Amino acid sequence: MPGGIGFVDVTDFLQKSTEDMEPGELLSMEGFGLTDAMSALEIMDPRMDTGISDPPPSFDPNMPLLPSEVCWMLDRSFAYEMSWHSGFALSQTVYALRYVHHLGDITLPRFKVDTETWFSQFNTKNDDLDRPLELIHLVLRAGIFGLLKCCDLVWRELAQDHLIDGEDWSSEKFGVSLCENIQPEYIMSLIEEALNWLRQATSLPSSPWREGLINRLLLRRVYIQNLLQTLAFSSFPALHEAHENIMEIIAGLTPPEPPTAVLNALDPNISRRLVSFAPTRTAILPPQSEVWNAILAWIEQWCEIKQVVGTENLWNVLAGLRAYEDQPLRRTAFLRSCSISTFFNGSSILLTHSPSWLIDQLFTEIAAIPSNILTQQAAQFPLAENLPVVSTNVNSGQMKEADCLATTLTEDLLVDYFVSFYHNRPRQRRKLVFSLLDWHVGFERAAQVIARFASIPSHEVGFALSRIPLCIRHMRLLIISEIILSGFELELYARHEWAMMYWYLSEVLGSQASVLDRLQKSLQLEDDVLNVRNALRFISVQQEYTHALRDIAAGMRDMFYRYPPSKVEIEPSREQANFEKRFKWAFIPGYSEAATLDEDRPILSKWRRWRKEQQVIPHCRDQNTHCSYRFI
Amino acid sequence: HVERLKSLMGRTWRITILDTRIFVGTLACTDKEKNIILINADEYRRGEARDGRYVGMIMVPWKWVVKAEVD
Repeated sequence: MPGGIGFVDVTDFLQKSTEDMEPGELLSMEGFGLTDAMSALEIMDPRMDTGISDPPPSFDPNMPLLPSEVCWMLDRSFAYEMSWHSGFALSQTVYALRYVHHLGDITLPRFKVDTETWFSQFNTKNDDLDRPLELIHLVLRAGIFGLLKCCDLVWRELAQDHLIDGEDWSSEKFGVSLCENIQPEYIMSLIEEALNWLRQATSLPSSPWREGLINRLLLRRVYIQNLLQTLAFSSFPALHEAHENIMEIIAGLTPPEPPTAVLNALDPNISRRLVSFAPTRTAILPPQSEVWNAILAWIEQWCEIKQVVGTENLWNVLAGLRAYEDQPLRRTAFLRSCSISTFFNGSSILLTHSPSWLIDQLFTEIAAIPSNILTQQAAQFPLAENLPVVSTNVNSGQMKEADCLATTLTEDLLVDYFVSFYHNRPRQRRKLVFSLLDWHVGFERAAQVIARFASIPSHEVGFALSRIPLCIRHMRLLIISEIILSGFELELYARHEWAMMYWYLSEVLGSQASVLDRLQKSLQLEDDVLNVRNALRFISVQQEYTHALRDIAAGMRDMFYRYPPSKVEIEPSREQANFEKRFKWAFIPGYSEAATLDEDRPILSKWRRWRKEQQVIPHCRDQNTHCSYRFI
Repeated sequence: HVERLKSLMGRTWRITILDTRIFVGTLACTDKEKNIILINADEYRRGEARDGRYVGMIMVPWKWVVKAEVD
C-alpha cells in the first residue's frame, strides 16, 4: 500500500470535525495561508489534473513481434522524433513509445551458460518461428537506444541556448533518461550487432521486411554519426549515405498497421503518468510520408550548413537561410541552432573568418569598399581644423572611433541581423525592430567619422568613404522592409491598416531605390576592376528587385485604399494614437537624442497628404468606393 | 473535534479518491467543505507497480474522496 502501514482511517472523524467549523474558516498548518492555497492543483479538474485518464492497456515489452511490426515500430520512432523536433514536448512524442520506459526489460543477454554442462545456449526460448525474439532484443532494442541517443545529442546542441526553450523547443525530460550516460559508441555497437544478426540469421524467415529493417537501422546509425561529427569536418559521404537509406526506405514496403496488442506499445497519454505540472494535449503523429520528407529536408539542410562553412561570399549565406520555410518539420530548432553555431560561435564567422571579415565583406560586396579603409584612413590623415577634437591625441582618437564603429557594426548589428533569420519569425521580427535605432546610430556615427577627415588622398578613397553611410542605410532599409512584410505574414495588421502599411512599404522601397542609385553613380566613377564590377552587378539586381517590389506595394496600396477590406471609421485623434502604436519603434526616445534625423521614419502627415491627393483622382470619386478615413 | 483536527495538520495523510488513485502528502489546509490541501504529494495508481509520481501541492475536493487516512 502506498505510504506503508500505520495509517488510520479518519474519514468519519474528518466529516464530523468540520461540521463544527464556521463557514469560510480555514484550518491550516503554521506558515500556510490562503495565498499559498491558491496555487494548488485541483484534483479531477481536467485543466489542472494531469492524472485523469483511463489506465493504459496492458503492455508486454517482450511480446514477440513480426518483422513487419518491428518495422512499423521503428517508423513510429522516427515519427515521434520528428514531432519532438517540430516543437512538441518529449512527453507528447518520444516518451509515448512505451519501449522507452522498458529498456531494461528488452535488454536480455542472448546467451546463458548451463552450469551442468558448461555449454552456452540461447537465453530466450521461442517456438514461434515467424516472431524470433531477436527482433525485440536486438533489432528493436538497437532502434530504441538509437532514438534516445539521437534525442540526447540534439538536446545537448539545443541546450546551448541559441534558441528559446519553451518557444522553439521543449527541453523538459520529465525525469526520463535519454541515455545521457551511455556512450554513442556502445549504441553503435548495438546497432552493428542487430545488423549482423539481420544479415545472417537463419531464424529470421526469408522475409521482404529484412531489407526494410536493415535500412532503418542503417539510417539510425548514420544519423548518430552525423550528430556526433562537428560541423568543422565535412561529412558529405555520411550525408549522402543517409540520403540513400531514406530513398531505399521510401521505395520499399510500407509496414501495415499492426493489431491492437501491438498498438498498445504506444501511449499518447503517457504525460499523465510522468512528473508533469501542466496537462499537455495529445500530439497527433504526422503521416509517415511527411516524416521521411522531414528527414530528407534535414539532410539537405545539413549539407547546406556544411557548404557555407568557409564560404567567401556573404550573400551565399543569406541565400540558404530558409527563413521563409513554412512547414515546421522542414525548419527544425536543431538545425537552426546548428546554423547559429556555424555562423558565429563567439569568436569566428562561419568557423573560418574573424568577425571583422563580416563588415569588410558587406562593404565589399555591396559597394566595393576596400577592407579596413576606415581604420587605415584614420591612422594616416589628421582631423579638419574646424571640427571638434575627439581626444588630445588626434589620430588615436580618430582610430578609436573608427574601431568602435567597425566593432559595433560587426558584432552588435551584422551578427544579430544574420542570426535573426534563424529564429522563429515572430522573434526575428522583434529582434529586427529592436535593432533599428542602433542601425540609425551606426549610420550617424559613420557620417560623423568620415566628415572628420581633413583631406582625402584620392578621389577613389573619397568615393569609397562616402559609400559607407549609404551601405549602412541600405541595410537599415532592408530591415524595415523585412519588418513590414513579416507583419503581413504574421497577420499583425488590422484590415483597415493594410493600405497604410503598403503605402509605407512603397515609401521605404522608394528610398531604397534612391540609395541604390547613389551607390551605382558613385561606383561608376571608379576604375573598372573586378570588385567594382561585382558590386555594380549586385546593385543592378537589387534595383530590379526593389523596383518590382515597390510596384507591387504601390498596387496593393491603391487596391486596399480604393476597396478597403474593412469599413471602420477612424477619428483623426484615434488615428494618431494608432499610428504611433503601430510604428512604436520609430517613436522611442533614442531617435530624438540622435543628432541626425531618421529620414526613413514613418510620418503620419505624409500618409494623410497621400490620401488627400487620392481624392482628386477621378476613380476615388466613384460612388462605389468607400474611403474609411475622415480627412483633415 | 476541531482542535483535534488542528493537531493533525502537518501530518502525513493518505487520500483515496473515486478513480482509485491514492495521494500521499502532508496535510496543509482544510475548510468547512472538507476540501483537502496536501503539499509534497505523490500520486499512486492501484495495480501499477511503479513508484508514485510527484504532484506537489494539490487540492482534493471532498466529493471525490473515498477514504482519508492519517499516519
